[in-house]
Amino acid sequence: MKKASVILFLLLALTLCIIFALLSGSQRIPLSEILFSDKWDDIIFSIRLPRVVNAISVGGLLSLAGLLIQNLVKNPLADPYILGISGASASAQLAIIAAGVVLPFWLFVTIGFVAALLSLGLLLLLSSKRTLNTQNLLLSGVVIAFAYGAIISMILTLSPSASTKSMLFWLMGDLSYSSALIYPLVILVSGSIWVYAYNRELDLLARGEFFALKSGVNVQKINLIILLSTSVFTAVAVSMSGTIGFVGLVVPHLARLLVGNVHALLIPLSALIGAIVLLLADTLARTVVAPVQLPVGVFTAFFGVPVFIYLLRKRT
Amino acid sequence: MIEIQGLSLKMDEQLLLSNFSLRIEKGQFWAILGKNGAGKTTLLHTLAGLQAYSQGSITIDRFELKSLEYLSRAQLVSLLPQVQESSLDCSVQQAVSYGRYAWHKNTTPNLEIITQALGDMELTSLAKKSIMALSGGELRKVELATILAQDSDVMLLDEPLNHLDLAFRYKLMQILKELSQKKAIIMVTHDIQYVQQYCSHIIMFCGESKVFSGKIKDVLTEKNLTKMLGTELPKSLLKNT
Repeated sequence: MKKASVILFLLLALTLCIIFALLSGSQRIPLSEILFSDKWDDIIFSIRLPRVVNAISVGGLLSLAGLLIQNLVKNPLADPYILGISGASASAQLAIIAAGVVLPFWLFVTIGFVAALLSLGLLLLLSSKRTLNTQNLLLSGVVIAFAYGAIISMILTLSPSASTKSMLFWLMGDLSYSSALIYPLVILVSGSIWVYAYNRELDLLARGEFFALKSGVNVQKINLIILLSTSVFTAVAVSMSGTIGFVGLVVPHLARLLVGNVHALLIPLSALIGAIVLLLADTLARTVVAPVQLPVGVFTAFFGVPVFIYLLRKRT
Repeated sequence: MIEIQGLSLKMDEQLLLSNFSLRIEKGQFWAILGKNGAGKTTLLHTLAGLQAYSQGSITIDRFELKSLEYLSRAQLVSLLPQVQESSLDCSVQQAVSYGRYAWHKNTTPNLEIITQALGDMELTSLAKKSIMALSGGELRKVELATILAQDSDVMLLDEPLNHLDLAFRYKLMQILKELSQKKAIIMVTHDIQYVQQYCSHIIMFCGESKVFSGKIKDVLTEKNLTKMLGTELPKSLLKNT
């Protein structure tokens, strides 16, 4: 019962954050005025709501991806970007920005997504012989991520200075490109339900791969499911908003602190906390020094670093 | 219960077992003895269905081990590994409840068995504690309790006495002996005095894929022991019975 109330509380908090986010911005809207008139409908529905939906989806997806990847590689310091999937997406999208080509947002996102999945294919090819070995996977992923880092630096150095600022924004994570794309939200909801079906197996896998295997879990199958889910979640998130840091690393730990290693609760909790955190961070990013907008990644790092250091010190 | 026929095991081109056959029944308590690297753990993991074997056949409860599904295998056979790999955090009670996975994949696990296993391993007062905060011996008890909770007909234990204090070693052997009345238990160990006192049968790895097996009184002899260790020991390890 206590645990059900945690979820209810978070749902309530999310609702409040959504209302807060819709009302704040360079143009502040009083709550009383939206209830009785439609003069703000334009700002709320065509500018702020898409951005709110994106912040929720991206925050939830990154946190779920982090929860899964930390379980897969049995390393609490892992985050969704560790396998280099995000680097691929960022490289492709930065190249587009550098070239000065203006694409419709959906096409820009799709290119990032496809680049991420191609990189996943490359990773699997490099790290696995017939079976998935998570240690090889982790090492190959880290190496690939380094290579993308080099590509990104090269693009930044060679690109005209006019586009450098928007490229840096993208690297820090940025939700200001948002236009009404509903599909990340659909993937977040259906992805959570899909992963939830394996919550017992995830509990056992956290205790160790060999442990899960001897206890009756089809480890190869579940690991592949985790890897594919976490990759798709990450690819969708980074192709929508660039590489927003710390959400995928810190939020799963917050959730574990609240309920322990119970994935039946960790899955909904991570998604909800991730959504709330990113929505709040993004609202701050566009209001603190309004009308200037800061990259949301600045705020997630700003709060993420102290929270993470606190958690780390508490652990040891 | 377990029927091994013509089994050959290799590890990196080194032959550990060749054409080995053995029957193990419920009500028997087997010990596996041998020098380091002789193949004891490999045999145990093979019997647990976690290691591939090229030659021979193993059937458990008349089922071919290779063709068993993951869940039915875990219902039939449990394994206590020598060392537990790295793990993320969870509570003692949770860790023990994972032993019930094979029986309750989609339902809530049977609390009675879990409570009993915790009690048997003297973990009741630690049930809510994080496994990260335990000592080596306590952690070993958690792993043992997990195996007890799994409650399979065949129990494979790789050096179960490691890390345990002397008093608890006797208690554990007593519990295992009682359990072996209705199960088949096979344990790898180096402690000959416990083997003599509690086990009914023994498998001895004597090097170069030579293996002796049978009742303790027939197989655990001074002569075989010297052969197994490859050296005469200054004082006899065996108690006269």
